[in-house]
Parts: sequence; C-alpha cells; structure tokens
Amino acid sequence: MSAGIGGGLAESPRGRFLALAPAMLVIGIFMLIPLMIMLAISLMEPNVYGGVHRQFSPDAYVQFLFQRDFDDNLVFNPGYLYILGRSLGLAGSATLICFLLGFPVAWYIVRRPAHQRNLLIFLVTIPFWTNLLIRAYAWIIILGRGGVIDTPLHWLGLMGPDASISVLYTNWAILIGLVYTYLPLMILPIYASLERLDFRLFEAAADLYSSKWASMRHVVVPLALPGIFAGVILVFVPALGDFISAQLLGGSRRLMLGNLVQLQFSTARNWPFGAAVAVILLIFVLASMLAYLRLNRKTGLELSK
Amino acid sequence: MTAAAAFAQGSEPHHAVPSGAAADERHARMRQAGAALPAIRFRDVVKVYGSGAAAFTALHGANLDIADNEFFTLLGPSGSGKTTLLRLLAGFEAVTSGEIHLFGAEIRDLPAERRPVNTVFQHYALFPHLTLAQNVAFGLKRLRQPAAQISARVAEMLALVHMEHLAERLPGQLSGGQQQRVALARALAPAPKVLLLDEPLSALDLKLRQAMREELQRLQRETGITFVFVTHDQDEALSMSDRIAVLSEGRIQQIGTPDDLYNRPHNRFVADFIGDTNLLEVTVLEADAGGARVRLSGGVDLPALTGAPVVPGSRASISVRPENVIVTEPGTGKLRAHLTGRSFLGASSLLTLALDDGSQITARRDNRLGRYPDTAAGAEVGIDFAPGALTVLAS
Repeated sequence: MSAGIGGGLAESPRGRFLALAPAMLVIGIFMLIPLMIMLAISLMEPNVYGGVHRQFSPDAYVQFLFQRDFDDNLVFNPGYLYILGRSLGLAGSATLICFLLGFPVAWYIVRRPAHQRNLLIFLVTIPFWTNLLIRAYAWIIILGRGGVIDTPLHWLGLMGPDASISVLYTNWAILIGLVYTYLPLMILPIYASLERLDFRLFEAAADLYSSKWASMRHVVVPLALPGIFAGVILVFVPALGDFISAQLLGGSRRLMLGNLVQLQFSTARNWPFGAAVAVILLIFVLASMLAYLRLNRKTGLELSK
Repeated sequence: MTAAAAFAQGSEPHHAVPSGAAADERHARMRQAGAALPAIRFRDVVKVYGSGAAAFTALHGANLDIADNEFFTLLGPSGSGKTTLLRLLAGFEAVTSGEIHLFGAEIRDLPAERRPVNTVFQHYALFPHLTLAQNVAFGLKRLRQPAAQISARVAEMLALVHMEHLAERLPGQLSGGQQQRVALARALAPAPKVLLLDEPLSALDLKLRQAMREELQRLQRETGITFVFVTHDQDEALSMSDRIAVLSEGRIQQIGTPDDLYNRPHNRFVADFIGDTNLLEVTVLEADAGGARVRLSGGVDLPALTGAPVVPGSRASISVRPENVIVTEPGTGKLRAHLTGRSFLGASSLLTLALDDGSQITARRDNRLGRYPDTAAGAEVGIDFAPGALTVLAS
C-alpha cells in the first residue's frame, strides 16, 4: 500500500477499519457466513425431500457415533468412525509418502543449474493444468483390469491372461490417487525453502566430518523445516477432505469423509448429517492448521532470534 | 585456560581419519613420517572446470610443499587459482590430474569428510539453526566423541576465541567479528592437522581485520597447526605468513618468505603485485648464478641481482622499490633526473622523477623532520640506488 493513500487512511482507528473493510467483507461473505450456515444446518432436523426443518436437534452429531435399534435405544455404531479413521490414515500416509518422494525431488531440482530448475519446476506443475477428474480417470485405465500395468504383464507371461494386479478399488488405489494429486503441493514449498539454503553450509558440514546423510539430517532438513511443514499442511488438509480419489479409485464401498458429506447432501438427503460430518472434518483441519502455526512460529523464532 | 593447554588436548590421536585397516595404515604412515615430511605436497596438480569448449583451466600444474607448523599463504588476485588450490586441499573439488599428499599420504580420493583438515570459510558458513556451542560441537559429534569430552572441548574452544559468554546464542545474533571467532573455534575444535582459511578476514572492517591478524598468528603459534591462508590482500599476507605462494592465472608465480617476495621478485607479476615498484627496461650484459650487469637505455651500466635465470644479451625489466631510490645532490649518483612531482603521504613522500631518457621513476623519501632540504619542482637531482636494490625479472 502506498504511503500517500494507505498511510493517511490507517492513521485513525476508523480509517483503519475502512481500509480493511473490503477484505473483511470478502472473508465474511465467502467464508464466515457459509460456515455459520453449515453449522446451523448441522444442528437442525432433516427434511426427507432434502433441505431442513428449522428445529434444533443434535441428532446429526449423535448419528455419527450411535444408531437407534428396534427398541429406539441408542447403540454405539463405529461405522462412521471407520470412515474417519480411513480418512486420517489415508491422508496421513499420503502426506508421508509425498514427503518421502517430494523432498528428494525438490533437492534434486534445487541442485540443477538455474535454467534447468525453472524447466523442472514447470514440469512439476503441469498436472495442475488438466482437470482433476480426467487425471483420476487416467488412473483407472492405468490400474484397472486389463489396464496399462496388467497388459504388459500378460504379454510377458508373468501373469495369467485373466489375472489382474487388482489394485483398483482398494485403499492402495486411493492412496496412489492422493499422492499423485497432492505431490506438487509438497515439492513446491520444500523447493522454495531449499532454494534459500546456503549450500556452503553443506560444504561446511562435509568439512566437519559429516557424511552426505548426516549433512542432510543435521543441516539441510532442519533448515528446510518451514517448507516441509508448509508442504505437510498443504497435502494433509486437502487429502483429508478429498473425495474424487476415493470415489473413482476406491469404488463404492471405501468412503472417505468427503464422500460421506457428498453422499448425505445428494443421495441420502440428510443435510444435517452431511453438515455435521463437514464440521467434524473442519475440526481436524483446524487442529492441524493450529499445530502448523505453532511449529512454524517455534522454528521461525529460533532461526530469526 | 591457555591456548597451549587447549592444544595439548587437541593433539590427541586424530579422529578424523576413516576407520578400518586402510585408514589405520595411512594414519600410521602419517605418524611415522614425522617432521621431515612436508605437511602438504602438491605435485603437478591440474584442475579443469567444465569440459569441451567451455573447459576452464583453473590450475596449470601446481607444485608446492608446505612444511608442518608453517603459516603458509596463497596470495593472488581473484581468479588466480588460490581458492581452487584450497578447495582441492579441503576435498570440495576433485583434482583433474596430479597428486596431493597430506603428511606423505595420497589424499586425492579421500572425500572431504574424511580429511583431517578443517576450513574457516570466507563468509563463516555457521549453521544458523544451531547455537554457537552446537556449531563448535558439530564436527566432534560427527566424529562420535563422548559427550563429556565434547562439552569440555567446546568450552575450551569458545574460551580460546573469547566467546564463552555467548555459547547459547544463535549465529544470527552476532556481529561479523564474533561470527569469525566462532568459525575459527569450530574449525579448530576437532584438532585438525591443517587449518584452511579462505579469506577469513575479507568481510571485516579494517580495525577488526588488524586485530584478527594478530589473533590468527597467536592461534597458529599456540596450536602449532599448519595454517594455509588464502587472501588477495598483500598486507595480510606479508604481515602474517612464514612463506607465501603468489598465484596468477592458475600458475604459481613464486614461493618464498615475505622478504624474498618483496626484495627478490622473480618476475614482473610478483614485483608489481606486491608493493609499489619501478620497472625499468634494460639490456642484460652478463649474468651468472646470483647477479648480472645490465645497461639502462640511457647507457648507464649497473649491477643487479637475479631471482630467475636470465640470458646475457636479452632485453629485460628490472624492479627497484621506491624506498631504494635515493635522491642525491645534482651531479652525484648514478643517474641524472628532474623532479616532476611530489605527493605527501604523512610518514613519507613520493617523489616523481623524470630520467634523461624520458622514463619516469618514483622515489619514496621518509619525512623525518629536518632531514631533507626542500627540493623545488623541476630542479635537477641525482639518483642513486641502495645496494642490492635492482632485481632482474624474468619476462
């Protein structure tokens, strides 16, 4: 903001409010109000034809953990917890795998000469240019029966003509889809933090009897932590809410939280329950964001002290 | 705690040499060799960067012996190959051809982390995420020394460079001079056989630089470690070094004591690069092992010393330092000249003199009060040379 306009406006409290008003309006209209609506819906009664009855009811949250048996008693039902567990497990695994794959890639790119680096980063971002659905369908063709992986194995006689690697419609397929989708979001922030790294420190570590691995562990990784944290959060948060990978690659029986939400708003016509699941998802996202901010502030403070 | 005591601990059997039978053997050889062997020996070391059309030869066959306990300086302008030489020694670069020996053992295939040498980097290269104590401990931890020994050594090293009170700070909180001291402590902590210093003072301001010169000399004397010091600053080189190698364009131009280099430069580059000098064109009349007779273009014959061999009958340059050009009464001395200019420098003045053949020569005259009469510009004077002041240069 230029000193001439912004400086003048920001001087009085009222001026500061006016200057921030557009941003606050945007956040309010596009974020806070929808969130409030979602929260409200989650606390109402469902209408069988979609929508809600405007009547308070905590049933949606109860339904997440319990179901009513024939005698109208509440019985613990872990079915939805499995879905939550699967979502956390898959998102966590995808994040870990993205880190294990993404860190070496970012390191490799950052060690290339400058003109090659730009090209490689460009290549990393190319998948973003294609529609996510199309990319997910491509994985069906790759992993599916008689697909890109099966066919050569048939030709080579490593597998019977009717056999398949049987990866599609398993948790593995979902995991592959998640890793594939979110890997660039891990590579880019790690690359950004490695690019700022002073590579003379790597020489200094070798000079002080550090093997390549020890230099990585004790110098490069600690200094790249801000980028690693950012990558972890950028992968974990959307992976937790992802539903395309699960829907297309996981088949109909392996739901993630995202699918559950979608299902409740469409087929099941239970808006309050869908909203409640979305709120639960949001709580986990917020928790990981808070953990991220905490960690980042700690390491940030240490480095700038 | 004294630095000598610090080194007494530091000179325990060295931990930096790789484990295993081959390493033990190498280590034994290093010890056996004793003081007679040079600490460092470069034999025909060539370093070429890149390949094909883009190839750049940074070193053209360097030969160099550095004695144990020596404060040895590699001096040259940027791009002369001095830093390349240091990096080859540290193991950051691989030699293209030739051999590097450390206490008699060939080390060209030994990776940097296995060489018992440590480096003080030009921009310190302290680890920004580690405290000063952790920085100093870094090498010791990688050598897997016991924790108690490490903390004792760290305290000792920080005390040696007067930084013990800041042990828990991070490098970002320190001034340049303080970071420099920590970099020194970190490099000295593992008690290296050889300490490499890559222009360690260039980022400091003048006062600090001079204080650090004395500090470095003290550390070198007290630890007895061989120092290899890279600099482009001739004052630094002349004031600290036991011996200096002058480099230019990837070649070692001359190796000698500061006195040798200053008073007996072998060639034009050395004469010109170190200190101020007058270069005069002469014809060599006769030459033998250490001396020659030369004739100036004005027809005056003079005795001169030679550093490198010269051929009688050839044209050559001679170097004479301004302080060895003595301005005398008109009509006396070896040459006749006219005073054309004078610049007052405080302790001394530089007099610009025009010789009869049109060439110029500069004389430095000290300004002790009442010593010389004022000479008017344009006045005729005589010129004499201090004994041994003229050196014939290899062209």
